[in-house]
Parts: sequence; C-alpha cells; structure tokens
Amino acid sequence: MKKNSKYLIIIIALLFLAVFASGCWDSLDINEKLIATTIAFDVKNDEIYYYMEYPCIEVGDEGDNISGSDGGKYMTIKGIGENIPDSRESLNKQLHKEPYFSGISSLILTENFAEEYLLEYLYRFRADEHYRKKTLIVTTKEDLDELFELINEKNDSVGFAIDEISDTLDDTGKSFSRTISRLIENLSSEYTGILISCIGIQDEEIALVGYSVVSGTKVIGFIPVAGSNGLVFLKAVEPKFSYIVPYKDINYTFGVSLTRKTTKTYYEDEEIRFDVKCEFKAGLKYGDKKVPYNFDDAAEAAVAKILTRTIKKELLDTINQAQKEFKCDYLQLDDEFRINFPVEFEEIDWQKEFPKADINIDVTFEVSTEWMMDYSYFETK
Amino acid sequence: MIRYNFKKTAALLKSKNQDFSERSFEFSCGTIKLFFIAQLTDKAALTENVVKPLILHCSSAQKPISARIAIDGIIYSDDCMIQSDISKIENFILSGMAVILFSTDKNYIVVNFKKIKQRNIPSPQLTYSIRGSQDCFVEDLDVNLSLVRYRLKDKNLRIKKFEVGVRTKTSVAVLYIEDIANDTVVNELQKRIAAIDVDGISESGELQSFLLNSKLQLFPNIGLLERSDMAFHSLLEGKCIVFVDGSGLALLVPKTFSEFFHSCDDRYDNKFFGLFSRILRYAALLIGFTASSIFVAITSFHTDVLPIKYAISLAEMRSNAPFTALMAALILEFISELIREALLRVPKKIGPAIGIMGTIVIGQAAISAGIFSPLLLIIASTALIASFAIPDYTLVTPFRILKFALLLFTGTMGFFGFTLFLTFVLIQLVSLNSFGVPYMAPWAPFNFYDFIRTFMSNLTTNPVRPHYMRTKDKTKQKQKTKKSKNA
Amino acid sequence: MKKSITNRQIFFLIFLALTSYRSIDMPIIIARSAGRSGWIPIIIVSLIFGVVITIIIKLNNMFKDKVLFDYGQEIVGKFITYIIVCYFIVYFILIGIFLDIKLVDVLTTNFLPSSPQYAILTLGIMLFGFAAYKGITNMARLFEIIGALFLLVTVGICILMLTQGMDYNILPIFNVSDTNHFLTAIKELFIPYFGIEILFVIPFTTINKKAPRVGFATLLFIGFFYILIVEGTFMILGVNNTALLNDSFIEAIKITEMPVIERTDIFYLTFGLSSLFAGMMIVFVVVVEFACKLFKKVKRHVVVIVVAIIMYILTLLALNIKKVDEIFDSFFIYLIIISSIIIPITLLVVAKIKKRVLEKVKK
Repeated sequence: MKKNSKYLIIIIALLFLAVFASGCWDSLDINEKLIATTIAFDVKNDEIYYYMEYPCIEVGDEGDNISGSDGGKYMTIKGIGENIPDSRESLNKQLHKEPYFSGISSLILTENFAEEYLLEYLYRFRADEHYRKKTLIVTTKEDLDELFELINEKNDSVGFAIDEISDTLDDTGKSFSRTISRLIENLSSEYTGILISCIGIQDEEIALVGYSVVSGTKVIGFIPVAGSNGLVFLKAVEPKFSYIVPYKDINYTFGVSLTRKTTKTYYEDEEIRFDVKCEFKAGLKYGDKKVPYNFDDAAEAAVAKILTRTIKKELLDTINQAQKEFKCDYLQLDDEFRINFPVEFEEIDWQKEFPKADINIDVTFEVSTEWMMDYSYFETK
Repeated sequence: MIRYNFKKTAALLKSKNQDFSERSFEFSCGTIKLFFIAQLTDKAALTENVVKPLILHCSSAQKPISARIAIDGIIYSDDCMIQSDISKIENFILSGMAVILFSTDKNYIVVNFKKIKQRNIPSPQLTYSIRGSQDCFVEDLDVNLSLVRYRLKDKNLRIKKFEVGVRTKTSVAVLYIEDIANDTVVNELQKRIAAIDVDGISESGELQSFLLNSKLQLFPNIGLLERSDMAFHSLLEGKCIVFVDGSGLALLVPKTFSEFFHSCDDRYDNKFFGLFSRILRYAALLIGFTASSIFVAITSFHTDVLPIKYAISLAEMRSNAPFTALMAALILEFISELIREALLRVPKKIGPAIGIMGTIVIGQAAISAGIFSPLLLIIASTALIASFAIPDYTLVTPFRILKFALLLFTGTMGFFGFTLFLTFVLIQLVSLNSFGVPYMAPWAPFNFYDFIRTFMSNLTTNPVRPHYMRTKDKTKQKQKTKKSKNA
Repeated sequence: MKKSITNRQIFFLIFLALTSYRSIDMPIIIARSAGRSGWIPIIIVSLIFGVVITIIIKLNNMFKDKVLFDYGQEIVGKFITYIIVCYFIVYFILIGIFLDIKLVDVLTTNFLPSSPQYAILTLGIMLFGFAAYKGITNMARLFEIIGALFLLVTVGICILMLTQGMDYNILPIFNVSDTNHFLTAIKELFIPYFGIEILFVIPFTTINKKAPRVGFATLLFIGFFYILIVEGTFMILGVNNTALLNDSFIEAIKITEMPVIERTDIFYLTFGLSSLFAGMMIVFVVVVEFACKLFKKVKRHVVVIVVAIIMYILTLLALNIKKVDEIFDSFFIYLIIISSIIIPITLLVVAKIKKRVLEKVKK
C-alpha cells in the first residue's frame, strides 16, 4: 500500500512537471504588449484606413510615426486595405509587439466610414472578446491624420482626451455619450435610431461639435451642438444649462436644470400620442448690473413664463427635427411605446408611425432665488 | 523479585556511574548509604535535612534503622517516599533524586532535593503583547506547573504525567480541566503520547511531530504556548496543554485554523479593536500568501482587469526589466526568505548592518539597475511584513512554502492556476481535524454563534464556550445564561 | 466527532451543483427563448424541481444513514438498484464530460486562448479527483466557504449591474406575446437544473425534518438567483446583445464598474472559477461514491484514478466532436426527466406502499 502511494505521488508529480515545464502558453508580460488607447477608421478613395494609437513606454520607441514627433508620448500608426480585414492585416505588419485592445478608451469613425461600414464593423467588434464593449464611440468630420498629429504633438492621447471630455460633459449635464454596447443593442433591435457624439477640432483642441444621427444601419445626418439644448434636455442624465433672461433692464443669468421628466403614452384608434411633462428648476445666479434686484413673486412668475416659452420652443424644435427632418426616433420614444404597448409595438412599423405621432410637451418651472447675489443691502446702508 | 544485596547494589551503583556521589553513615547495627548526583541536587538542603539528622541519629542508634523509621522520624523532607523496586534505584538517581539505602532494610527512601541551574522566568519572545502578564514558561516542568497552578485554583484541574523516551525518560505532563474538556480529545492525546516509542525527546517540537495526524501533514493542528495567561485561558476553553520537561514552549491541543489568529491582546483590549486586529491578521495572511501571485497573474495573463491608465503605468515601470514577472517574483520571494532566515541567525551586533544592506542593496540598487520593478518590490516587502502579523508563527510556515507553488501555478495558467491551487489548499484545510475537532471550524462546518464569537466578541466575556469544542460544560457565565433563559 | 451534513451544507451543495456553470449560460437561454418575461419560466421550473427535491429528501429521511444504493435494495430489490446505480454513474459521467467541455470552453474563450485543452483538463481533473478522494463530508464543508463567497460576489455584482444598467432594457416585465415561448423556455431550462440527484449519495444521519423545506427553499432561491443574473445582464447589455454574445454574463461583468477599483471581472475570475470547479467536484464525488458502493472491494483511491482517467479520455474525445453542445442538449432533457422525476417518484411511491403494507401486516 505504501509503495503504491509512493508510485502515485511520483506519477502525479511528473504530470504536474510536464504541465509546468511545457506551460506558460498565455503568459505575456504587459510591457511586451502594444497597448492601444484609440482606434479609428476612415474611408478615402475606396480604401479603408485603420488607425491605432498607442503610448511609447520605452525610450526610443519608433513606429511609423505620422505625427512626426520622434520620442513623443503617444504614437499613431495606420494600415490601409480594401476592406476591414485587409486594413487590419496591413496594420499588423507594422506592429513590433502583440497588440492589446482591451484598454481602448475610444473608437473614432469618420462620417464617410460610418455611412457604409458602421454595421459591419460593429458586428466585428461584438464578435471579438478582446474588446471591452464599454468603449466610447464617436464620429468625426475631421481628417484623422491631422487630428492625431495635432493631439500627439502635445504628448496627449486622442482617446483619453475624448474619454475625458465625454465624462466631463456627461457629469455636468451638458451632453450624453454612447458606448458601443448600447449602439450595438440599438442596431440589433427591430427599430434603429440613435445619436452618436461627433467630435472635431476647435482652437487646436478636441471638442464636441455635434451629434450624428444613425437610422437603420447608416449615418443620415448631423445635429450641431449650437441649438441642441432641447436634445440634451430630453436625452441626458440631469441636464443643466445657463440661460440669460432679460427682465426690467437687467439681464439675469439662471442655471436651469431638469428635475423630473415623465412620459405618458396613449394609443387610441391607431393613433399614438405622447405627453411629455418636464419639470425644471431655475436658480437665479446673478444680474449684470450693480443695482438692487427687488426680485419679488411677480418677477419670478414673469421669468418663469419667459423660460417656459424658451425651453418649450427648444423642445418642440427638437421633436420636430426628429419627426420631420430626420424621420428618425433617436429620442427613444419607441422604448416608451414598447414598454406600455408591447403587443401593439410588434404589430406596427415604428419607422412609419413615429413621424405621425402626436408629441405634446408640458413644461413647468420652479424659480429659486436662494443663492442669488443681490445688491439690495446697499439701499439699507 | 530481585534479591537485595546491600553491598553489591551499592558497589554496582558506584562502579557504573562515576559521577554518582556517595555518603555512608555507619551505626551500630548497620550502614546507611546516600547516593545522589551533585550537579542536580541542592546540596545545602540535602546536608541540612538528611545528612545532619542521619549523623545525629546514627551516632546514638541502638536499634536497626529502617526506611520507615528514617522517613517518619529522622529526615526532614516534604517530598519523599519509600520504594522497594531495586531496578528503579538507578533511574531515581539519574532523574535528580537522592536515594537512601539501608543495610538492614530492603526498602529505600527516595528524596527530592532536585535543583537544576535554570534561567529566571523570562519575558515572552514569540508572543509579545502590550497588555497582559509578561511571565513565560521555562525549561523546568515544576516551574511551569506552578505558573499554571497559581492562576487556576480549580479542583478539577488534572495533571497526568508521562515518561517519554527510553533513554532520556523525559517527563511530559498533560493538563486539562476534567469537567470541561472533551473526553475524546483527552483520551486520544494520552493514547498518542503513551504510544510514542523513541530514544528520547528534548523539546516540545519533537513531541509535536509524534502527535500529528500524519507524517506528511503540512498545516499545524497543535498550537504553541509561551505565556502562562494564554495557558490558563486555553484550559478554561476546554483545551489540553502538554508540557515537556526541558522545553520552554508548551503544546496546545486541539487548535483550529481560526485560533491561530487570536492574540492575548484581543481579550484585554477593547472588543472593536480586537475585531479590527483579527480582520487585519486574516488580511495579512491573504496578502502574504497571494500578493505576488496576483501581481504575476495580472501582469502576465489578465492585463484587462486593470484600468488602461494603470496598465500603461505598469508597462512603463516594467519596460526595462530583464526578467518576466514570474521570474522576478520568484527571485524576490526567495531573497525575502533568505533575509528572514539570516535575521534569525545573525548575531545581534551585526543585525542592523544586515538590515541596511538588505534595504540598500536589494531595494535601491535593484530598482536603479532596472532589475525589478518598484511595484513588485513593494508587493514583496509588504508580503514579508504581513507574514509577521500572525500571532502564532507556526501557521505562517506552511504558507511560506506553498507561496512558491502558488506562484508556479499562477505563472503557468494565470488566474485559473491561482484558483486551482487555492482550491487544493482549501480542500486540504477543510479535510483536516485537530484531535477530532474540524480544523476549519467555525467556518466549515459553519456555526453562526461561533463565527460571531471568533470575530465580534471578547472571548473572555462570552458566556458560552465554542460549540465545535464539544466541551462537557458549555457555559462560562451561569448567571447570564440563566437571565437569557428567563428572558 | 460524528460526520453529518447540516442543512446549510445541503443548501450550498445544491446551490453550487446547479449554478456553477449555468449562471453564465442562463441569460443567453432566457434571451433566446422567453425574452423579458423569462423570469416566469424560471420560477415555474424552480417550483417543479423544488417538488422533486422534496421527494428525494423525503426518501433519504425514510432511511436513516443509508444512501440510494442501500435503501434502493430494500425498496426495489438488488437487481433494479444495480441498474439504477449504473444508470446514475453513466448519467453523472455524461454531466461531468459536459461540464468539463464547458469549463475548457469558458477558459479558452475568455482567459487562456493559447493554452492547450489537455493541460487545462490535466490540472482540472487532478483537482476534482483530489476532492473526490476526500469524500462528501469534506466537500460539503468546502462548499460552505466557496458557496458563500460566490453568492456574495455574484449578488454584489448583480446589484451593481442593476444600478448601472438601463431599466428600459428589462421593461415590460411581462409581455403577453412572450407566453407563446414559455413551453420552449421551460424545456430549455430543464437542463440548467440537473444536479439535484447528488442528494442520493448523501446519507442523513438523523431524521432531518427541516431538510425538505430547506431543499424547496433552496430551489426557489436558485430561481431568484438566476432571475437576478438574467435581469442584471439584460439591464447592462440589452436583450439582443445578450442573445447574440457568447458568455454574455461575463461580457456584462466586464462593462460593470465598481467604485475605487473600477473593474469587477477580477472578482468573478477568482470566485466564479472556484464555483465552476465546485460544480465539477461534486459530480466527480457522486460518481466515485456510487462506484465505491458498486465495487466495494476496490480501494477508494483506485476508483478515483479510474474515474479520472475515464473522464479525461472521454472529454478529450468529446472536445473533437463538432456541435457537441447540440448533441447533449438534444437528449439530456430525457435523461434529466428520468433521473430527477421518474426514478425518485417511483422509489418514493413504492417505499410508501411497502411501508403501509408492512404496517398492516404488523397489525
């Protein structure tokens, strides 16, 4: 029995040794990987351009550096091909280390690329387990060569810059961003309509310039940032903006935030109706004159009326644009209808019904002067 | 029955053992001979209480003096007895007793005036604490027993003595409280001690190796006791203590995995601090065992668990490292173990120099040369420090060995290998028992009260003893138990 | 110290046996079959198997200190008992092969793409064999620890998913048109619930009156656990993504973020993997226990080695079969119905009848 135990232990030890000695198949240290921070796609002259940005972690790291700054902190290389797999192969031939894509912070698509290849690439992205599906997706109208060159010269990463801008804008309620997971989910649904943030260059810095409208599987339009407050109010989480309201020769600056939004859905006689009720809070920050404000109840009511009118117009313009101009439900009202009338939603064609839907907006304001700067104490002095 | 020949016996004793001291007393009817070993005897007490009275009596004795007469009326000693077995005379003398032989009586007297040069009761070296008494056990069994007796005046405290070792005849004492301790544990312990057949043992560690469940056992299921206050607390919990004559460390049986994390400070300090300390110790063991392996797994296999900025920063740190993460971790852990061993053996005067050399050479120079990344060095150092946070060092020893195996598994298969090996270790731990008590109690089998008791409450003020000990007397505080029953 | 299995240990044994691998698959199964209303079939199947487990526990309670091999001979005779035991050995070996394939699949797809399958299997089967050698009591103790940790981590991650996800992905909770797919969903959900037959090798050393309630509650709890996982995955990924992605639960975990350390997949890597091992270990232990009963004269470690070799070879062969998943799914449901429903009910009915007859004869 003891001899048998000894033989058993020897056999098991040999098996372990065999595994260990031949092992470490997946072992690759992090410094031996090329960590990609951004990938981007463009289409020029019927050729697909595949860009990859990565940080230089060693001194004297040289790749096909299109930014022209040797020894810069981030570098960009590109591969060119007739289709996506070929462009990737072309890129692979330039890599001196195995690429690591699980840390990509942003995926940038030019509008040209998004118009034709959006669905194909997103399905490719979904099928690859290496990519994190929480990657941010943005479109751009800029030339990618110029974009990467501009930012890499400043020793900064395009991907991180976009990520940080999106996070800041989302957190401050000025915008809304979309991840690839959400985009793919939308594209896989029966009805597709979604907005993707569009970035560009302003004063040699990356900035949010608008939103690309995706309907079906293509990009069909663009909404600039200027005048998109209504859109942000309807889509963002805790949106906030500042408005200047002229009242009695003083221009008052108000911080307006959406406190509550409720949507009621009705379906009667094959007619769809949405009643969207938005409750806003406007906090008076300051006026532009050094005089007592004497901001009484009548003033509050008047300001509330002005703000209601302004914002209601913005919201109605946004809805109008979605229904009439783009005929695309990127406001996700299809989800509201699906939740309340799931059976009916399966029977109708939302693409046709949405432009006909009756969408009513009701806006209420609560004006607060709690934190206002007031010069009325000068009167009492 | 061996026939007794006084002269022959005396001559044989002297011829065989030249370090036996002999003193003869002649009287009219016969001779009395006193045998003892001078190095083991309190000669002043022997002279005062045995030699002097015998001389006085012998000078005027008219009748034969027997052992009974001598013990009742001549010698002054509280620890003496009459024996008749001739074959044991030599053993008594060798164990430090003085033996008085009578030409006119086959019986002889054995007197205990043992005095061995011992060190004084020291302060604790292994289980230092801030509060609590500072007296520790010494090599003398009687002193150790006295330290326990003076704290525990329970009439149910039992001390069972054994003699272990054919040649050394080392005294071993087993202590337990009869109406608390589980009979199964006590009987099993006594059975194992009685079954020991060896030339000799000198230290409790040697006895411990005979008491293990199997020779290949890696994890300790017997605790070490250095302090007398811990001994008395353990006896009250229903445990057994084993003292070995000649060893300053006692053995504690049974001992479960969670009890290795208990320190005496936990009883004396605030219970919330006790809770915090215990959590810290568990975290320390986990860090000491797994930190390097997690580093290897993340660096070499599962880089995607790191946020991208950490990944880039880590890659930069390792950009010039010549070794893979696994090799570097193995080398650093090996160096840590070397430093640990060296510090144990180094003479006190050059200890600080070794420390400085270790810090400067290994730490600073290695990083400057780019051999190791700073993060790995921090992890290895933290793991080394963490291993000293466990009160009973015997638990850390197997984990120090297993750490290397864990590194190998992780270096081959990433988190799969890591989890696999941890599961191996966990299976081994749950299948162990300490004299019938499940080793992983109260974790597995889980007992909610014992689990809360282990972490949350002060062990002294708990009204009930741990359920997994299956003690005879389950309650410590009868009044509180009555109140809770009435409520 | 007497070795017995407590109610808590029964809970964790059943919990890990059922959820170890299927918690990864469950969102895909529900997304493809019943959609957002999938929680209803889960509850229905949990109730069905809750009744089944109560039957098995009642059988065990009727025969103190005995397992199926022992009391089966009293109920239906030696020959039929041997057939039932052989059937269970083959059944659990098939489950073991299926779980091995899934384990290798999950590991090679998500974590170790270049590691050869034989290496993963070698190390895995050595662990399972070691665990099987230690016996059912030690397994129960191990599962108390692993199960508690797995439960805490998974529930914690699911709560994070529910807070970070989008509620319109799971609304409406009930859609009338989904009811057409409930039967298909129920049929597909039978397979994730295999494993309650492990109770046939656990002797009840005392008559445990609470055990039937514990068993039923365990199955209900598992149902709610599955619902939590499914709804959490839906909220993060959406129904379409869940249906189309492989290992969507793991993908959802990768998207979920925690405060401070950001990534949560490191927790699932460790605790989820240990739960996968647990599922395999219990299957291995059951096969060994049945085999030891059948071949009493053979030493336990020999049985363990033989079973390990058989599983290893068969798994390696099965890995080379294309669409092995579909092959398993096609006939497994019938095996489950036989082993989980037909056999226990038959044994219980016969046992009850025999008991009544005996009582009448005594009177």
